[in-house]
Amino acid sequence: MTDETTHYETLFIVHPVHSGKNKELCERYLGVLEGRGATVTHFEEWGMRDLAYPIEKQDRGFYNLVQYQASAGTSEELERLMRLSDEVMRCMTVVLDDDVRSLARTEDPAPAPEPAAAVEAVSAATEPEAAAAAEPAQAAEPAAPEPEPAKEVQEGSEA
Amino acid sequence: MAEYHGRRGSEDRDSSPRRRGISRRKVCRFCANKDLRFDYKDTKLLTGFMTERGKITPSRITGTCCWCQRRLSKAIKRARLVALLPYTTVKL
Repeated sequence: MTDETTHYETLFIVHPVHSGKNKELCERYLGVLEGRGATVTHFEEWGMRDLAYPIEKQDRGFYNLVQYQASAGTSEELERLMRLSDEVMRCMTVVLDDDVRSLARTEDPAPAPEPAAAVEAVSAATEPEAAAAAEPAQAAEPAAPEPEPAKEVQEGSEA
Repeated sequence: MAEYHGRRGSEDRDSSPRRRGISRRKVCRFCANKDLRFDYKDTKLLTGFMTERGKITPSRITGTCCWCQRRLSKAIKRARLVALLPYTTVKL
């Protein structure tokens, strides 16, 4: 279980007063990640941006984005360190799988009529559900010339 | 669901004198365009689903389907947390 890694994305805003030492900060956090065995896949400095609302009485902040593959507990540790530091005004970590799932969802309706196609185990598991959801939808609406509304119903019932 | 509303809409148009304009059927933009992602960083896309006050526009107005509306609102709430989007535009 602990060997399993997840793709995370952390966005953090550095206080404008400390934006000068943004590089050191980022190196420190990336060092923490690599020290815990995570692989950083992407790092991006967005730079100084206007905030949509003031945080800590500041209207601007230095945005940084890190994407990394890590095992359980690493992102929590990173967030803990960020929350403790005065330099980071705000941080947020999300699991990147959401986007992957949204992609998988859009591909689902197409392979549903062809269950023989060689697909991943995950999509294979969802296919019978999709087929089952599609059948009652068609039965309820025998005269359904448009395929799109049926799809919407199917998606709604899936989720 | 969407189809049913469409039919009822056309009946109303015929019978009631108030609704005479041609109502265009709303389509979920996320279902129509598969390239769109529910990315909280894409503020340009997300602001299109918000009112001027910064509220999330209901799906009955935008036509977004239930599945997509849930993910869309989540993305907007994430963007709000990191101050990419406002909670409200009203100044206190």
